Amino acid sequence: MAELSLNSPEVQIALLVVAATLVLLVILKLFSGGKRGSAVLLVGPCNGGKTTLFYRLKDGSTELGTVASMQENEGIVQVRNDKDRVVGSVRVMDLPGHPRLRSKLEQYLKDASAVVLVLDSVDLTPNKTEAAEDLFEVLTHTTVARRRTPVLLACNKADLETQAHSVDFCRRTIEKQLDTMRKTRLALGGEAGRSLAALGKPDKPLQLAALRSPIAVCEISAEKGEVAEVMRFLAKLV
Amino acid sequence: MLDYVLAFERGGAILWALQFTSLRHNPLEAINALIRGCLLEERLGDNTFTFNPKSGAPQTLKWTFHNGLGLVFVAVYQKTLSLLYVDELLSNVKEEFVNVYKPGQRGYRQFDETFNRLLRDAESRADAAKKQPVMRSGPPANAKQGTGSQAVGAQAKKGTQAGKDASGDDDAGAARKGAANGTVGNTSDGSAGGEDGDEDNVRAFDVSKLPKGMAGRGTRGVRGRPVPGAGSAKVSDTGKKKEEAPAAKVKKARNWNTMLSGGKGDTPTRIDYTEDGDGPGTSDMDLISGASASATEDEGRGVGVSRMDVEEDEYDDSEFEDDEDLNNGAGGRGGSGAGASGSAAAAPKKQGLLASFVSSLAMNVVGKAALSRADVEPALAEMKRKLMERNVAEEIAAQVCDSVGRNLEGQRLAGFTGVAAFVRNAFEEALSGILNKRSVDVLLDIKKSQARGKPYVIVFCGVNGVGKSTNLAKIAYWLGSHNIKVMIAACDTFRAGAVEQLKTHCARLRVPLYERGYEKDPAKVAYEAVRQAEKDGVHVVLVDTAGRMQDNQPLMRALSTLISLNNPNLVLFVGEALVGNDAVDQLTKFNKSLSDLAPTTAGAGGPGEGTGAVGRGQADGSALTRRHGGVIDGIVLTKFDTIDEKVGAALSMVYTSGAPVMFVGCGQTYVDLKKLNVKSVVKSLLK
Repeated sequence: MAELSLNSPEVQIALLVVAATLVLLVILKLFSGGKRGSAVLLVGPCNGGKTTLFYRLKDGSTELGTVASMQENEGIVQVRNDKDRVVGSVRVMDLPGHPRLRSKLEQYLKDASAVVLVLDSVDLTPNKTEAAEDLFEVLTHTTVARRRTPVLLACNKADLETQAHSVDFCRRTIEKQLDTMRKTRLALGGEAGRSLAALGKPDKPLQLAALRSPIAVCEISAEKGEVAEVMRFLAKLV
Repeated sequence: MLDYVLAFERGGAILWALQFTSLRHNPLEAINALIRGCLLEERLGDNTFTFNPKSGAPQTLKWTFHNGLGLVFVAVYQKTLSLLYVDELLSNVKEEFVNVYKPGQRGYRQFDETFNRLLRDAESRADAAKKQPVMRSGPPANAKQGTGSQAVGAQAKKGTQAGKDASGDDDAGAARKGAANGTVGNTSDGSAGGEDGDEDNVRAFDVSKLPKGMAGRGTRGVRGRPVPGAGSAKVSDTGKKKEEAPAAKVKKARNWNTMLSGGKGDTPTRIDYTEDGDGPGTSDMDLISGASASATEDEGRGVGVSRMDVEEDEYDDSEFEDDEDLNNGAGGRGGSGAGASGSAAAAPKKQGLLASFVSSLAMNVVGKAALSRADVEPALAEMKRKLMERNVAEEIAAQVCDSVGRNLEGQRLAGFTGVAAFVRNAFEEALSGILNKRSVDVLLDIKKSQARGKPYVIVFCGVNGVGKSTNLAKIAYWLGSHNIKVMIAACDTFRAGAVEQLKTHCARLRVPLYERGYEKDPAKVAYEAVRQAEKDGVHVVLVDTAGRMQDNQPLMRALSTLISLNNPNLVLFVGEALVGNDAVDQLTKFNKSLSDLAPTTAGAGGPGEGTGAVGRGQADGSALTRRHGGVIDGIVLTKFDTIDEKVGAALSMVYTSGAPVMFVGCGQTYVDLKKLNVKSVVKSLLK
């Protein structure tokens, strides 16, 4: 084999190829890095209407309905402002509500730019513990607490007027649940790695609007397409 | 014939649906029940799923996957019909639909015609098959399957042999019972055709088994294995004992004060007949001597913080081991991928960059088009062997492997991963999913019933010798350390020394004990204990019951009377981690007996579908919902410190019952109680 020195053409070509590859990789990483790590998550208990909301936001269609999701849906939503002009786009991720797939919530929360908790205002009471637990997990997640990620509580199925509970009722139910949970979890003391401080001081009853990163509550109807509140929430992110 | 057919994505969006009959309930309810009860529970090995709507006849659902595109096709029809062509029809539909499918499009009206054509073909083929003289090749039920699909026929063979005992289980709750139940829906119902002779045989066969149910098997287990003597012996024993009770002399309670320092008591005459020592032969010995030789009442408090409240350290260094394995596994594929196995930490990162680079350029350097069953078979077999080595019950291991295999078929391998690593990932997800159940937040529920002024009742049940009383004491200690007032109810009125054992615990924990001695009706004792607790303002009542074998019908009936009379908020099944294949048997029989043998046939054993407070008529409406359709709400896994890696019993128990593991007992002192660490269990299972 000939002497390998930096001046020989083979070595120079080889070095050039390696450098080009590295540059290409870096460029690609930069491009993909922009996409990664900034998604709006749709979370909540089963049957809340997350997938319906997802499709309604994405392309406004919910033709045939949905069934319980077995895996997450991901898509880009065009955000429109009140005058119906497109102001930007966000990546939205719809996570399944089934408890078995709940573990995915942890890993996605790390990259979340905002969280929308979708509640079923008709069937609120049987699901309130699950909803409160989800909200608890979201709020006490270290990244969420640190970044003060905005959270929206969307009470879905408002179109069923007679059966749906009011926004106030939903808010108060969730607040009460969270309050109790805060007390018991604090007592356990085994919640290392969670920022319980994000839930405020335990001596005062919990108020969603009074937390460090305030949580807004609204009512929507994904079925009927009345999702203006969510759209406004997304518009603030863009 | 068919009620409803639909195709949907795994993400939840319905792509195409066709309704044939108008049903009183929303057809989507059945689909949601299927997803929550079967597809997400890794029970893909079952061929069918039965759904009982609130109004209307039960329906059977059959399904098929297209894993490559992430689509699911489901057909729903009345359970009383046995349609033989559904499997074949579904696979044809799958093939045709893939041609029409465009990702992102929803609504395929044009597919209706294609489907109707396929349906007509399938129906005519089935009719033609029925008209032909049927060959008797195998058990009679096999003939009823027609020539339709091989898979269903093979399953029927398996089904009838194992289905002898499953025939009695042919109700909704048993849909979760697994492979053996696959085609029972078909065999025991009448159907058209000229096989009346066979039908009579089959039906007579079924009917003769039905009334016997559990009692018919008596001392024999599920697969005809004789249960080690305890079953029949126990039955005759308790029978005799009940007769002799009035004649026998009254048992004098033993005074244990001699064990604690000071205090007068009877000097124990020899009670321990082992060679070495004298003293109580129960596991209490360790408890008493473990703390200190001169155990006093004060010792009970100062033993330390219960391990439930201590966060376990996450072991991060083991991740490097996993990555090395991954690299070795992927060694055969992708030269640069394997070549980058220089240092364990750098290798995965480099692999990630390269893989993402390659895939972002839309190049699939290595990796086949789609995985076929044959590709994953060896990896699955290896996994099954590994699981069984880790003490997972054989049935459960087979079902989990089958279900994961079905999920993997047709999926594409990512750029540089090997088959083994891919399968291993799928297993990790599946096992984590099974073990990661939403468990009841006990403290929260206790606070809720505190607010209502009613005591929170927890009943411990299980077979003999698994550690009920010991773990009950540990839980009492843990609750006490959270300032919750506990009372223990001694409803084990059978075993000698049970009440004394609890007396000792109560003395050390400074917790009131409600006992009425021996030979009393446990259900009444529990009832009175709860009333007493309400009067005294006690928050939690822990009810200890006698150990009983799962086959022992009178004892199971007694237990279910106790449960239905007292409406406990939580029924915990205590199982030891050392148990092997018997775990499945124990749990199924417990769940089944407790619901079947309840005095009023309250639908406690109804099918668990999503949320909704089904169950034992809780007046206080606590947040406990019967998500898994059985009476058992949680599992306590004991003797966890005696097994190192063989943690499979946890998986078997959770899979069989659907209940979460709420406590893990890992020692014999009061602090040895912890939560189940799912990550470490999955790691041990797959190591």
